[in-house]
Amino acid sequence: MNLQLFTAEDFMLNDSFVRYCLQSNDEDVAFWNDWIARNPHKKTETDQAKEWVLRLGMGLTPDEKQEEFRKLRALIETGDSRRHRFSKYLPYVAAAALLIGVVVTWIWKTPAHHTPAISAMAYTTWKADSVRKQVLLADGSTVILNRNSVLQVPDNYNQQERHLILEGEAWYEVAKKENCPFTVTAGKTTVQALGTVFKVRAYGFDSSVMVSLISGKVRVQAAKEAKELSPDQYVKTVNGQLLSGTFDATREQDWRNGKLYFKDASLEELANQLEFWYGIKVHITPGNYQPIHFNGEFVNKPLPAVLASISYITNLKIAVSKGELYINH
Amino acid sequence: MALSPADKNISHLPESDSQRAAGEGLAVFWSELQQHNEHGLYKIYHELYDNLYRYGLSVVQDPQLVKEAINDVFVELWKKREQLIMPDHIPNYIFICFKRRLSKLLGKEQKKSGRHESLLFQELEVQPYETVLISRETDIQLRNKMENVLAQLTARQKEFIRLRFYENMSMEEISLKTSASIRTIYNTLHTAIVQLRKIMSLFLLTLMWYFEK
Repeated sequence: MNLQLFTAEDFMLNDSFVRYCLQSNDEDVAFWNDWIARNPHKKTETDQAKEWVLRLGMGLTPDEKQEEFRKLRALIETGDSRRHRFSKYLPYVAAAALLIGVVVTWIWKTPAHHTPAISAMAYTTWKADSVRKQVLLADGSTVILNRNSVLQVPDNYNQQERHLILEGEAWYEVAKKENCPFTVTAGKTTVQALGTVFKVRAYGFDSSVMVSLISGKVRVQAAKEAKELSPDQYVKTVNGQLLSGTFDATREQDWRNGKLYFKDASLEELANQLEFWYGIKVHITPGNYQPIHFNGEFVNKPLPAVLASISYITNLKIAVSKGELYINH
Repeated sequence: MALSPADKNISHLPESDSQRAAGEGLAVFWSELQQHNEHGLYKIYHELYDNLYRYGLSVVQDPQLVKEAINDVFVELWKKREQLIMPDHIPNYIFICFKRRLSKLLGKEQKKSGRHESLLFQELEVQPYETVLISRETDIQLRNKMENVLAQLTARQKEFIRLRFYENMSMEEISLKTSASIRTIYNTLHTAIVQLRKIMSLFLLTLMWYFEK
């Protein structure tokens, strides 16, 4: 079999070549790609043969099929989809959070004026895994729990005090109540509030805890330092100390309202926004990327839906592995 | 699920040994689907796509409609994954869903174009390979040409082309099915393709020459 003498007809009648055209066998695809690259003078013949194989087969070309598949994926992943995704980790996360919660609260509470009885340390646990969750507390305060976050509410909440334990990120709209302080503990940082709206971000993948004040007043107590915040100000803990700055209030308000916008976003902006929005660590695999200008608006959409749209439009490969996000070209 | 008499003619389902083995793999994918794993669904999709698409095209000569119907069926399967039971024969089950979807979409199209008669339970008619092949050419002149060329081929030549390129059977499988020798099949196909290509490319050349003038 001398391939050099092959005409288009001969290629068409070669089983391996047909498998290459239909991309049904990786070895054949690799062989013919290589062979055609090495024999450019035969390209007219092979191109014609391929065209005829596809015409007579009347199937979709592999590219067209891929396109259909991407449409299907986008449809599936915008649906209700993955409610069971994190369920296998949740018992561990909850158990760990509970343990940390108990220890932290205990350490922090000891020097305080009233020490809660150990027997009262029973919690109601709220978890938001793939979508954010809104929790209405006994005193009328509202907590919006971001994706991948756990909130612990002690059973004695709203009796003498209102204390919450957070892992992950949450937005708090605190109802005013005299003589009943509202506190949130995240790791070694505690935030005390009275009739305020604020947000605490304390994800495991981030070593620092961030507190943003939207309105009212909060006092943040870190390991080595304490600070009072005024609206539009945030603090970040770094080695037990507090660094402050101002944040983009519109961005936070959009987050509150569940509106995620991308306007002419570059790859970096895209990654940054996803990390901010969904509380997930984002990695960009190094490499040469085509410039990206992504536009889009999502209202209360779960992460998989947003990812499906982004990868459908930008052609980026996005994978979630072990709770972290990897972007690939 | 009971098959109605109309559902019996699922001739597009190959039942060779390799396909049957694939059918067993489908059962695994199906149970993944039931466990809310979308990858199970995706694997079934890849497994059956070509068969569904070809069948669809033989009934409705509208690739867009066919593609839409296939994706609809799979989205529907995903939505209903909690109520799904394991069917006796997964490809058959999906084929029946697909046929229903096609009739429905076809009904809608006809309604739009103002044809109201017999929308209920209209039977899908499978067109022969040649008709479908001709209908694929969107250019009227090219379509007429294709029709002429195909008319010049013998029944045997057309049969071999259909088996090899459309049913995607190997030379050995065609030989077993038609009891012709592989050599004969090869030669018959070769002559047929040369004829097809010669007339079509000549036609394309004249067409180009015509436009350049």
